[in-house]
Formats: sequence, C-alpha cells, structure tokens
Amino acid sequence: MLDIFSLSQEEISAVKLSMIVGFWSVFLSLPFGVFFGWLLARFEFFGKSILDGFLHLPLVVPPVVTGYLLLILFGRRNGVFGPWLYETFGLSFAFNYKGAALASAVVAFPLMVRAIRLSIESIDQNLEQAAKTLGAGPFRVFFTITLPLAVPGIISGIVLAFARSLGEFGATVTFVGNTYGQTQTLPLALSAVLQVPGSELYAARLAIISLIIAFGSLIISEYFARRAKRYKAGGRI
Amino acid sequence: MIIMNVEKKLGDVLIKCDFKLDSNGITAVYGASGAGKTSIINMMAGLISPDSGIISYRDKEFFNHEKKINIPADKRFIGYVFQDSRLFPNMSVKDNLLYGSKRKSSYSLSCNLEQVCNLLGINHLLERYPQKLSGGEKQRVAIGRALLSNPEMLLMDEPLASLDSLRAKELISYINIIRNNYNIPILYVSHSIDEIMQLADNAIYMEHGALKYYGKAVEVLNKTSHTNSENASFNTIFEGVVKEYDKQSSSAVILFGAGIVESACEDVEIGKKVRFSINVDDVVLSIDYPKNISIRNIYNGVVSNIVKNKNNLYDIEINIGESIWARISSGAFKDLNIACGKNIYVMFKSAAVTDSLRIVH
Repeated sequence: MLDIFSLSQEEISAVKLSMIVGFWSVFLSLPFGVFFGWLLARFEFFGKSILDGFLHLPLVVPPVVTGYLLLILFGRRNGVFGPWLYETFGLSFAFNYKGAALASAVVAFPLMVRAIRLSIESIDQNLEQAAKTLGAGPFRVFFTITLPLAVPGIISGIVLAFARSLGEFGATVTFVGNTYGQTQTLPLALSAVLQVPGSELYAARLAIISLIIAFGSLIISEYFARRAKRYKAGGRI
Repeated sequence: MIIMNVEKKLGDVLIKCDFKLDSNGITAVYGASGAGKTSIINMMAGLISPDSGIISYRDKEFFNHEKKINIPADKRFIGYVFQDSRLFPNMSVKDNLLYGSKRKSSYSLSCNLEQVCNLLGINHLLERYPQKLSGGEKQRVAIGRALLSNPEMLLMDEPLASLDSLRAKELISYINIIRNNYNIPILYVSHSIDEIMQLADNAIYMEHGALKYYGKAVEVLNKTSHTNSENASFNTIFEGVVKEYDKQSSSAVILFGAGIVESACEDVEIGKKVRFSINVDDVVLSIDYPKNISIRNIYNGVVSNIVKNKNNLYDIEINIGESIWARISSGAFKDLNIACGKNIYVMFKSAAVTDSLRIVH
C-alpha cells in the first residue's frame, strides 16, 4: 500500500528541482525584466515595436519551437553560442538544471516584462521630474523613485514568471530533455510517470503537489502585493 | 540677473519670452490659462527645452541654442514648487524634505531642516507619509523640500490652486515669510490678481504665449486690468504705506500716490506696505468740490483717457497723482461734459478700500 504522505525519491527530486529551476530562472531574468520594462515604459525609440514583439514571442510561439531555437543558439556542440560559452566560462546547458532554468526564463520573460512595464507606466512621471529639480540625476531618480514605486509590479512579475516556470514543459523537454535529477521538474516527472502503466496514484500525487505549490505561491504573492500597495500608498513594508 | 530670451513652439502656441530680471523677491508670472506661464518656468527649470534662445542666471548659462548648451534640470540649482506638491509617496515627510539637501553651490541657500520646519510649521509632520497630510500641509512640505535643496532660485507654479481659501491665506503668509527670510529670486506663477497683490514685487504678464508687460507688480496689474476686462468691471490697484493706526477704532491712515486714504483695518503696524483696489463702479466723479458729503476720500485730478465701451458706458482714466479708472453712464458723461484735460474731483468710499486692503509682506 502506497503511503500517501511519504514522498518517493523521484518526487522529492522533482519538487526540489522545480524550485531550483524556478528560482534561478526568475533571479537571473529579473534585472533584464526590470531593464526592458523600464525601457518600454519610459522611452520612444526607433524599432520599439519590433523589440516589443520580439520580447513577446515566447508567449505566442509553441514552446517546442522555443526549445528548438534554444538548442540552435546554446547547444554545446553545434549551437551558435554554445561552444564559445563552454570554452570561455565552462558553462554548459546540456541535460542539466541550468538549461531547464534558461528555458523557463525565456518562456516566462514576456510575463515578467509586461507586469513590470505596466507598473512603471502607472508611475506619475511628474514625481520623477520633481526629483530632477531636487538635483537627482537619472540613476538616483531611477533607484529612489521609479524602482521603489514599481515594487508591486515587480513582485507580480516575479510571481507570474515563477508560476510559469513551474509549469514549463515543452521548451525544457526539447532543449535539455527529461533526465531524472537533472532536468526532470514536476511537469516532466508527471509526464514520465504517466508513461508507466499502473502509476495513476503517483501521477495524482504529483499533480496535487503541483497544485499546492502553485496555490501557495499565489497566496504569498498576494500577501506581498498587499504590503507593497500599502508601501506605495505610504507606509513601510 | 536672470536673462531669458527664448522661443518655443508648443502645439499651436508659440511661446516667446524676453526679459531681464535683476531683483530678488517675488516676480509674479501671470496671464490667462494657456498663456504659457508654466511653460516659461518649466524652461527655466530645464524640464522642457526651448527651440532657440538663451537662458542664463548670474554667470551661468542654462541654455544657449547657438553654443549648444543645455544644462539638465538636476544641475541648475533651481527649486520648484509644483501646483500638485508632488511629494514622493514612498518616503516620509522627513525623507522628502531631505531628498535634495546634499547638493551645494556657491550661491545657493543653505537651509537646515530645523530652521525650515520652524518657519513652515511642519515639525510635527516629519514622521508622517504624504498621503496622511492635508492639501495645505503638503504644499508647505513641498516648499520646505524645495528650500532644503539649496536652490539659487525658487519657482512656484500656482501653489495655492488646489487649496481652499483659508489654507491659501495661510500659505500666502508662509510664502511671505520665505520671501523675507531668504534672499533668492522667486518666480511665482498665478492667475489670481489677489495673490499677486499680496505677494509680488514685480510681475510678468503673458498673453497668447508672449510676454506682454514686465515691471512693478502694481503697474503691470493696472496696465492689464482695463484691456483684460472686456467690458466687465475692473479695479485700479494702489500701493501705499500705513501712516497712522488707531488700535481702538481699528482705523488706519494710508499714504499713497494721491494723498491719504482712510480704511478700517485689523492689526497692522505703522510703516507696513499695503495694497488696495478700487473698482470702477465704486468711483464717483464731480466737477465741483463736493461739500457736506459723507465720503471722506476726495481727490482732485485731471482726465487723461476716455474709453467708450460696448455697453455704452464710459471708462474714464483720471490722474490724481496716480491713475484711477472710473466708469460712468453716457448721460453722466454728457452732463459733466467730460473731456481729456478736464479738472475733476474723484471720490470713493472707505469701505471699498477696507474690502480690498491687503498687507504686503
């Protein structure tokens, strides 16, 4: 009889890996997300709509295509940048969690940029002007006014991206495969389990774990978003 | 010395401004909405750039189109008090006040937090956040923030516009305190003649984007009041000094260009500068010296200008030592046989002075 409360080695590994992949994909894409969100919110420049479209591509392109493009770009042997990255930094994405994190980051990036962009757009630019008249240069204006006021949007961007990377399947499986302990996150583990006849209970358990993690992260994000709103409306976090 | 000689196309309006200002104190920038008042001070602050021309202050060129100089707003040392205060919602009042306090320049004010808070009465607000402040408190903090950024010049864009009349009156006294305590030029955008009467030393009048008049506040107000009235009644504004004051009867004797005028007035010191306005409809004209009459303010003068307005009324300008405008009917105009150069007596009631009397700093 299967004990429903003691997780198997595979399940623990999948949960851990999902968290690690989610963390790294969000952590590494955040600075870029803030940068592009700010760029799109605050500036008009030639090619803006092309850049905007390009950043949104992973949202509309089938994840498998994204994974394929990642292979072409970052494949260790035949990729465009892959061999160079490996020789210069010893960095390889093949069949490990780094590749899964990269795939998740790319797929989740549009969601993050969108949330951050919207929140920066909603900041009264007059406040930035006022800061300028008080002697603040562009950097100080950004770090003391724009960034703190964009916190609610940044938090929701983080959560959206994290949730998306938890659910990421197609790009990851195409780019780095489905290897136990390396790239087998929750959805990949679930898919692998489903291939094995008679393992419906395992599958159900993985699905429930996924649900709990997703729901938990939504609650945590709601909590932070509320605090951040209060912060924006005056008051400390 | 502030020099501004710029042109800027904004939509359909060509902003054109050419003036030299060499006084500290408050210079009002006034005119109808859309006349380009705010654009002028935004160009001064560096928030918008002119298409051509020069802006300079003391020995510094802020903008020079030909030399391709355009110093960014954050390096101009100009404090700006906005209409909507624009306090940073993510910072406490204290952090707002100190936001610009690190910069220094050789000519800039150096204020300290305690002094500014005392002057503006905002000591008790320091730990609060902007959302918890009233409109008047916000504006006081905004003024304090601008002062503490050690500016060489202060710009104010209708700082009273969002306040009720009681708060506005209170803030005017604070602005006067600033004027008297700190020796920097203040450009004060307003469309309220009443505010200008109470605050301004000099005035710039803007019309359709162009600077029309520049000079002493009272002179500029009087130059524009008739042309702007479009047949509605308007005021002549006078400046005077309190010569005598009787506390018991609360009555003051004010010395002005045409002689003396009596007015009821609460709490004023001898020697204080005051301004008052007389409405054209409150002025009575007489060919002979009126005897046995209750009016105490009677002046002898010479008619210097006659304008017939669309309602068949006559606006008469009389020089009584200073110029004053009176409005009379066409019947009265004929009966009195008024013509330029004619000697005439001008009267107005003290009540008219009392209603409009404003103490200036």
